[in-house]
Amino acid sequence: MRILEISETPAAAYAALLLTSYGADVDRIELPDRHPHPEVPDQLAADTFLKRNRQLVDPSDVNPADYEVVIEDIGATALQKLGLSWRQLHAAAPSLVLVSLSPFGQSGPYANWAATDINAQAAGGVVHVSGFEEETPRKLPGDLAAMICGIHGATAAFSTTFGISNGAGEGVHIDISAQDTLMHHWTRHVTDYAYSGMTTVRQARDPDGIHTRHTARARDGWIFIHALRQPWQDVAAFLGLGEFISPDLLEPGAPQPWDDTMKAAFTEAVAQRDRYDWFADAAELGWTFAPVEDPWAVANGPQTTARGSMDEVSVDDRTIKVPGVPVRGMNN
Amino acid sequence: MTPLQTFKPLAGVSVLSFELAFSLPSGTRALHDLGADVVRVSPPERQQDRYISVIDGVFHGKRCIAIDLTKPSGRDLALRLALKADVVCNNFRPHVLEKYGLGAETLRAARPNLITLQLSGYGTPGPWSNFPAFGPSTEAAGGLNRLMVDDNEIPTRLQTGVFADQLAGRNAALAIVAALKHRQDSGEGASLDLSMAACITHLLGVAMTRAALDDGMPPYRFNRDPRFVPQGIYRTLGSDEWLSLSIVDDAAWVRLCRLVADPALSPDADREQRQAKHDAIDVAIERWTSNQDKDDLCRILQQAGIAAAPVRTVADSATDPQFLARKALQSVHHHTPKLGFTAHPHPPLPWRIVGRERRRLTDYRHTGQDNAAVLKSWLQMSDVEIAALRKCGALASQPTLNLKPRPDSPLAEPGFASKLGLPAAGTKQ
Repeated sequence: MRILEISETPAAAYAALLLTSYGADVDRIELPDRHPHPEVPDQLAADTFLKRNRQLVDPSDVNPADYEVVIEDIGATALQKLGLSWRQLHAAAPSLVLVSLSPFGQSGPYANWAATDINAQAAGGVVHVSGFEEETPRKLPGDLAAMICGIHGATAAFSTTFGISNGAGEGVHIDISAQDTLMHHWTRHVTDYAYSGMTTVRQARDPDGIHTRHTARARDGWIFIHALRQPWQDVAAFLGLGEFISPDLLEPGAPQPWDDTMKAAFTEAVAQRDRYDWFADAAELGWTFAPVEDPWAVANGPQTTARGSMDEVSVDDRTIKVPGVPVRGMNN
Repeated sequence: MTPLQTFKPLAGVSVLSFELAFSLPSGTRALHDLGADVVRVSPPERQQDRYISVIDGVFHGKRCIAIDLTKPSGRDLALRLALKADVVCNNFRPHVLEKYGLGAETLRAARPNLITLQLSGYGTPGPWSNFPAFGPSTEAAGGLNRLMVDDNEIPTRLQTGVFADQLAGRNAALAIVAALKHRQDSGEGASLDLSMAACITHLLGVAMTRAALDDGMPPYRFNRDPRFVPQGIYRTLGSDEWLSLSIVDDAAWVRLCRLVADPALSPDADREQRQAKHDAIDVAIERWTSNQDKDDLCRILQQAGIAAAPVRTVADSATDPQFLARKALQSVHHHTPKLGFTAHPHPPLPWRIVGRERRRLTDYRHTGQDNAAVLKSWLQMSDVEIAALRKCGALASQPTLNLKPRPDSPLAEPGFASKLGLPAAGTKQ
């Protein structure tokens, strides 16, 4: 499957990376980034991760009939200037699919809004529930709204060309908004509100009790203690806090109020063991603890290593590891 | 006016999904939205018929057959269905389906062009492959929690509850449609293995790459960005109401200075100078925003060509003008009212297909609701054969779930329905 990528943001660039990872041939029209900042170290990281495995083409050499999909995030006006508007593409190649990615889509009152990723994240809803209560909400790290939009773009490319080859009709123009895609990522809260009127708040920075979703420091890093629906006495026994098991059992999953003595004992108990040991022993009980990994631990961890989940990329005279596509069994 | 053709590129594709919780169901819901015939296989007891399953919307529209896999007759039935499907997927722990004779190797030996997908917390192979996982635990293991905070804070999780699950669902749908396209071109099937934690890690690929280049943690910037200065989330009028703002270049900065008109903001400051005074700039901006409505502010800022957007809450998302214009929520109608309403909003496929309609969402289908219909359409079974399967316990079904109102909910408040554009029970539509 041949695809033409026209990108100036991570949205179409990430879509194209995914498409190549799943076996598509992608040509990329090299355009300057929408907000180029080569002096910012993040730029090298973004270019290294996102702009791999494609060959560059000059716009003047592009023949739409050579492609099944054009995926872009530069907008209709810029496409027109390249001679690659939807009308022109469709006339040249009636079965071609155009996938357009943008923060707010190409229709509606926000269609022409100026936006960076934080704006799409904010309007998409995920920001309001991120961070700590009574503090400023936090955005998700990086350009995640654009990249989630990119996953949809890649899905649109494969599914639509599949359908067209199966006789589903002519090519179509698919317009995907990052704001719309983010609605799905917190849909439980929106629909819960619609069904029950209940709202969602950000978590307390300093919870007033130990509960069965808690992050604590193990001997060699952080461990996420997630023993959903387990009775407190079982969790306490597992953590070595037998002296705090109360005959007044609380509802499973409810916070157990704690005082300074218990807090100190809990902190000390968790710090006695390494995070992977907690993780493995909790798994034996069917509990979903997890190590809280930093990037180095992710890249070099036992599961990542066993699955071969990282790709090796050359940058200048170095070879570094970057995340590979999360699925095995498809061209990898 | 001629109705628009419905966009169904996966029409004719059949998917058999052994699915639980949220992750894989959200992925196969996308396949359903794209026109596939998705049949979810439920265990006989009412595991998924809970309040949260109904409100999540990930089971909407998909037909449901309830099979007891612990019985040989149930396993035989499941095998027959699997060998009829184009795609067989599951999000049980790895090797569970193998135990029932439904593993990828067995299925693909019988049908080499079948596509199978195993979705699990940590994927296979590896020492964590059989560890249980929920979405939040894979967010931690995948690297997200640590990147949400600076070095002096306890790592925190996203409070959306289903972020990793939805992300895994997106990746599952992508992997499946990519495999369908590959099979269309080559005739080859695929045995896919997807890790929820690895989905998180891949999404964080730029930060992971930065860490590898620097050989250390990438700097934590809260809501800031070295490319766009200033950038942040600022308090607006009301309780817990906020605005996002991002200055992309010096020209936008000058326009902002004119609007805010605060002596603390110098229009001549370049990006580096603004970066050095970011804290003071944030205070000045929030002095301006904190007494104004977030939507009014956005209109003013956007008219000046400044990147800004309201921070949507659960309460105002359903009435966001852009979501409404793009039909980001569809009203899903209930045969009998749920919690006092004859419809509730759910998000459909979030793509606008120019000149086509998206497939309409239909209501949640409960355990075993489609036993007979699926067996007749997929296996051409007779009523007699279906009755025999019920009698031997291979098939089961449960009645429609009766949702109880949650305590202290404001559903009864006047105006709640109209606020969300919902028809209440007894209202003619």
